[in-house]
Amino acid sequence: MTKQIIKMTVNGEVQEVIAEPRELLIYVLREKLGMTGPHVGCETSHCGACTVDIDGKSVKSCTMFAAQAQGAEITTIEGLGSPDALHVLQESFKEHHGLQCGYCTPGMITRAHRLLEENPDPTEEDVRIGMAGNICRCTGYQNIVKSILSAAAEMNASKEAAQ
Amino acid sequence: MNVNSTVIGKPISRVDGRLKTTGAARYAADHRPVEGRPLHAVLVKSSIASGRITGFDLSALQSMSGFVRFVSHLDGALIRTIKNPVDGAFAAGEEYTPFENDRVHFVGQHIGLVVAQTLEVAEAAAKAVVVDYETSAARIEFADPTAEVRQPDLYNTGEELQVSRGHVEAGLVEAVEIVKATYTTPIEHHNPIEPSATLAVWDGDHLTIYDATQGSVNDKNYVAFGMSVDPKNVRVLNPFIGGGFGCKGFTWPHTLIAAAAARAVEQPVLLVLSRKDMYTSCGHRPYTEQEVTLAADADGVLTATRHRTQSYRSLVGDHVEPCGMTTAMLYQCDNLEVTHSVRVLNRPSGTPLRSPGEAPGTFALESAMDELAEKLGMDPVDLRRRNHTDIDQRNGRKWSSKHLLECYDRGAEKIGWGRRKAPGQWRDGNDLVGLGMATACYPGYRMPTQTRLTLDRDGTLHVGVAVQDIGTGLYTVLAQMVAERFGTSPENVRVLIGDSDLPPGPLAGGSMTTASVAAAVDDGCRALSEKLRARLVDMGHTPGNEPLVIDGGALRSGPLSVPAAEVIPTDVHEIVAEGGSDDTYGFTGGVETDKSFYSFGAIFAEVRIDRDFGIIRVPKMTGVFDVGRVINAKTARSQMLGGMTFGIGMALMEETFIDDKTGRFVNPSLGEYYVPVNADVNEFDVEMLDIPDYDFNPFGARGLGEISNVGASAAIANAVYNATGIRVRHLPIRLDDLLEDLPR
Amino acid sequence: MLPYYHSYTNDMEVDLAFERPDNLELALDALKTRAFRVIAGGTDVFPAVQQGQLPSAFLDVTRIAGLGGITRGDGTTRIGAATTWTDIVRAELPAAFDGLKEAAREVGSVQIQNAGTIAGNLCNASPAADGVPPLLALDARVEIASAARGTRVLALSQFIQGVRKTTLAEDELVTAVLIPDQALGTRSAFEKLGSRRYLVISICMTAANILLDAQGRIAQARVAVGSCSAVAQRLPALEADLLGKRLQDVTVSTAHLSPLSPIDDVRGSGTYRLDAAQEQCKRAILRAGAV
Repeated sequence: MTKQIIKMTVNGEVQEVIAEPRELLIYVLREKLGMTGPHVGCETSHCGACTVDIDGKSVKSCTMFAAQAQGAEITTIEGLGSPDALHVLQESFKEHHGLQCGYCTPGMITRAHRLLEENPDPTEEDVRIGMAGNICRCTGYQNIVKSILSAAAEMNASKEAAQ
Repeated sequence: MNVNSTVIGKPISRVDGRLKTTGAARYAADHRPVEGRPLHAVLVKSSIASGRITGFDLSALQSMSGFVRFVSHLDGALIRTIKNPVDGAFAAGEEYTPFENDRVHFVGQHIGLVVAQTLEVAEAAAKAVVVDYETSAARIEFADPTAEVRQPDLYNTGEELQVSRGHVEAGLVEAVEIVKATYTTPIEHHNPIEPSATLAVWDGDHLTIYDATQGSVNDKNYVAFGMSVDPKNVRVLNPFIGGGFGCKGFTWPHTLIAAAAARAVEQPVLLVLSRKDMYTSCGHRPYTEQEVTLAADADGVLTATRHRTQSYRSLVGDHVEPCGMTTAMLYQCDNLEVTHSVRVLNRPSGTPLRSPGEAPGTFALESAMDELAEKLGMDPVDLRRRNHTDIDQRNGRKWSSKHLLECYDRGAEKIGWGRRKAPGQWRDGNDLVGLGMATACYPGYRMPTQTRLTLDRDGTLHVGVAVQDIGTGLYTVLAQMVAERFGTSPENVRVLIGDSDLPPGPLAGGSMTTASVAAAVDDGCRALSEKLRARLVDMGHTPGNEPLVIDGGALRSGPLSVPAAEVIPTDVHEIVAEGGSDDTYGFTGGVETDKSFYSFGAIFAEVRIDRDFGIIRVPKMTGVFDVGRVINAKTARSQMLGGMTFGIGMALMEETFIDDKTGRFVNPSLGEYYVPVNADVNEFDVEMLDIPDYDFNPFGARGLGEISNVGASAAIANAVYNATGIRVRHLPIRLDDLLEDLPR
Repeated sequence: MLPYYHSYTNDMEVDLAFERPDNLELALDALKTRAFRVIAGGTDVFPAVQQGQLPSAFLDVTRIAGLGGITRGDGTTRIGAATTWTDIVRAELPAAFDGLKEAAREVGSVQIQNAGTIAGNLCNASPAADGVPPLLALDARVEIASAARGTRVLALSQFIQGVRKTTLAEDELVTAVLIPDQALGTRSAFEKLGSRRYLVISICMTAANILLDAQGRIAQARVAVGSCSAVAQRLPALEADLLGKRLQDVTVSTAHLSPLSPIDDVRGSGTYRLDAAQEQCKRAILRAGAV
């Protein structure tokens, strides 16, 4: 058994790719599905630039074989919003300057999205701990925290308004 | 300059925010050739520190399906012998031509490249290459007595590294208090989150490279030289760069290797460095040992200053960590000696890392100032005020704009300096609390820059210049500058950067891009404005003396308003003007002026130390900076916050260890090289005085990326002393530095 | 999207294997046939293979029925081998497991806790494995299975034998971590020290499980320290001394720490680690004991 067909749902679309056992999920997403959002930063699961959402959990796609994603439901930054239709979190990162070079940003926002799904009303401390697996070397984190807290408030307000 | 600008200084959100928050911004490794897909390449690096390669055993590779080619020095002259610098360029990372011969100078040197159909095959193949070496004696240990020691004359800016004035010995005799101490700083790595990457695509003798570089023009000229092609035939694209902090500043061997390999295999080649590769492929801040002597009279006036820096260089890279440059200019002192020496070792090459010289140098100088204040019984801020000067101590020139005293005042007020107690006396529960401060400074640099300004028929302005946004916010800043000059909104300005085919600009280093483009944009806007006025006159209009405004698709001057579509002749789509400045400031050989240009600041830190474990936290940090006019309050503030966080890393965490026996870096990963994570940082306070320096450029900005990292480590170390009474003279300060002697 | 958006294949002819069985029997049979690298979350495997050759065969155990999840009964809490740290954090467990939960929250980052498993942490056998001290303090045992020899159970302290060394044979798989029911009222705590606040390798860590009697005296105590010896260690002398003491009378002496043999390394000296362990023991005991 050298190559296998991997079927997974990525950003709502069913995808089938042929991959070798040793191919990492990040490379399948990038090289075979053409995504530019998930980035490779460290290859050792520390920086978080490759963070994607798998079956409702934040996972580092640089330390996972594609074959382990067989049957999985995957959301990448591309699945949250697009340049013409930003997700609340993306808008918030843009407005509160939660980024500089932007390389860590897709993983950062994908992680933040799951954080808010799990804890819709986090404290600053919750955010700082919950985001500790995503390293940013440029901003000093302050605006990232601000972006996430502000997005949380906005998402909660629109939820309340809807009720 | 419109001081009430609605554009300049405003907290405008970055114009690339949409692309970057959606994953649509393309970094070097995200690009692909127009046709087909690239081959993937992986480096083979030396595992010995000194010797020669006697052969490669590639037998395991031949059977690997998907393996394409192994490239090494055995392929003959793939790359022309590099001289440093080549015409039109600033610098290469190393005075070294990859694959030129069989010599090995350090562990991690690039000795071969595997090219394969997929990354997985390339990685497997690179691991399967067996290298035979003949090893020779390596000098790795810093103190190796057989290492050659050099006293370099100049830093890469042309500044003198060996400075002497007055008589230090006489000044020491005059003094009532003398501090003489040795401070050390570790090997540090830049660790931008984006690893360096190069995609090289040849089309005949034309080469396009997508490179994670802080300098597309520098890169273009090196690659053209190395590939023996006309620089006109080389185009370097770097629209987005995932941080650099210096390691992508100069052209490094991997970029030349990727270009050479792509030519050899006649297919596009993508080479993405691994995190581990990054530790030996594109520089680091070398370890420094700095002996500082400060002498003062009873009033705290400095009577003598000596700063001797010892560091090292590799056999192929000439970087010197210029720690004493700050000391030579900062405080009033007539008797001074600054020296720099480097040992030549079989280690990977150093290179500038955010505030090279200034960051480690001020750790030593500003720690010594704190020690001197303690000895004199003076407040550390007062000691600095006492020795403040309006004259650049190196050359007797006045500063163009210096407001350091205000930085001290504001910073002291904001941190609550009055709360400070004698060392070891401030306790809060289980914590020891302390306050410390340091002066920050960084030179103002400006380099020749050209721009192209364009107005199209929609009334949209375009500005093009071959500079790059490494995360600082340059896209936004350029849009603001052009918008300001034409009285419009930044949304009406399209910014083209990150392409070496554009009019040339400097590399993103030395905090010089904003100041450099400021002069060029100003001139380009003037040139476009003149052209447009002439065109209006040709059309029979009589524009007044009012500034030309371009907004809402029309040109206006006073009561006159003409649609852009009418101004621009139907047979052309746009009106183009070029402008720029050939002036250089801050580098030796630049414009002769009677002023010196520097940015200043003051950093204050509060630390809390757990008495049982020696854990150091930095709950508060205040930075007040005099960096000239701030163009964008949002992007500027973010850089300052990031720089101060860099300072926390430098003070408390960051260190690369080298194995003195083998010459290997021991912790080349983000798992073992600690940088601050979100949970390590608190809300910091940043203030910029925002006083324009129009002597420096027409927008009055000086530059601010580097200065925020200067002084931060000394401020923290001084706060640690204030909290505990324990003076730590090395970085990073480790948990076990304090525990034994902590006041319980 | 990248411009060449389409799948492609290449003609690899390398003997690579990736098996992902859904029952234990298949997994154990596979282990008989060739040297597999067992993988679950991969959080330790991938950083390690960066340094050396990539193994040619992987056995993913995360889909094996019954290998994930926590069940209680027969005087035992059974934590399936493939249970992630996040699963543990979210599980409803008695207060005696609070220390384990605290440790679970300190394993790497949230992403690592989502992928990394309890058995992976034990099999990796790092001296700095965050899961080991709290499991020692819970008196955990390790259940191991093989096709040839069936199931065996041994104490965690016997399972981990040294730095990166366990008793696991090539054909064996850890199937569960078994924790005997703790006396009612047992509480626990975990303390960790590193050079940064999170995402950090422990310099020293301590777990304590404490039971107080009705008079507030310590009736049962188990204390374990990690990162201060090749394998994390229980401190029997300290545990014995604690019995009958009130919390306010707890003292930890250097003699209590005699099972530890911390080394000097770049993160902290051995002396520092011993100092820190002493203080951590005290803090963990007091915190575990506090109602």
